[in-house]
Amino acid sequence: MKNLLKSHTFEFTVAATYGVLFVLYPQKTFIALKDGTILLLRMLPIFLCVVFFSSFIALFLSPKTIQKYMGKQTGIKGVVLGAVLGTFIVGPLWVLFPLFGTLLKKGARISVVGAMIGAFAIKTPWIPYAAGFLGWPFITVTVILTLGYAVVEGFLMEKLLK
Amino acid sequence: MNVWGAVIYGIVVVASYIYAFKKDKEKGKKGLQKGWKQFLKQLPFVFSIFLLIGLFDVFIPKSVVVSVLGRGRGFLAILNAALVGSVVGGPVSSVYPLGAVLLKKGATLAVAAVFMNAWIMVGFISMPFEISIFGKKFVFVRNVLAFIGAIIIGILTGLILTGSAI
Repeated sequence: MKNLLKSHTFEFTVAATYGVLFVLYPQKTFIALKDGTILLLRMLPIFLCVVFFSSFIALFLSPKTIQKYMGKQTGIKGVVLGAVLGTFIVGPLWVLFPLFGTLLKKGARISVVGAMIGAFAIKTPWIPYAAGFLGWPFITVTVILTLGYAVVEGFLMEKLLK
Repeated sequence: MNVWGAVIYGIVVVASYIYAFKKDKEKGKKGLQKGWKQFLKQLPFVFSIFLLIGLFDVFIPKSVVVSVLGRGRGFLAILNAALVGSVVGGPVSSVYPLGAVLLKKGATLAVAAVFMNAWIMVGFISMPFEISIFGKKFVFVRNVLAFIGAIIIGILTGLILTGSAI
């Protein structure tokens, strides 16, 4: 029970907030509960796609595969490839940062790894989810700009760190 | 649009698993299992975020958001959004609905975009971990560049889509 509380602090905080607000403002809180539930039902199909697409990518674009791709890449081509690959990488930071660290140790250029980390901000499986909330024009523009900036960021990092 | 997005995405997912099962049956199975496990793991959080968005929508008046993140605040709103987004952080599943509700409540597109970009690009909470792998200098340079990038990208997004930089 204590562990559950610890690992789901956020969920329990929201539940407790609802409990208090239900006593104080039952009608408004009910509307919030209804809206939140409708939002979940509306986003559920896309959310299911996100988790299954992410696990598909995780299997077929494993850290080993990425290392193989990035091992000998240099120059602008390597940086752009790094950025594009970065958008497809899925998983939590504590899996990815060690991967990027290994790439650097194995001699990958800072610009390539920097671009990858920059492009990691675009999480391809989540794009339709983002579009569900913000619309396709927004997410399209954001993706293009972030990808472009990732390449610039890679080169700037290399310049500043060398 | 939402429906079509889901339909097309569904087709992509089904196609990718047909490919996976053809290539390696065990791998395909493992993917499905992993996906389902992630679904069950993330669902409570996602539902809680949506419920929180519901509360935000009902209880926070538009005027509050406008006074902090509205057009009238100028560049200060952008800076606030970047700082808050950098410090808070959290799963991506939460940032897009938060951005959407901020927009609905009167934040400008550029400000909401900066907030979401900073949230995703700058990792304040994960910094100690990042330092343990890359060293202080690398992490400092990366995060400063990410912070500046979050602002630039957000302002450009606002300019392109609404014609307003703030």
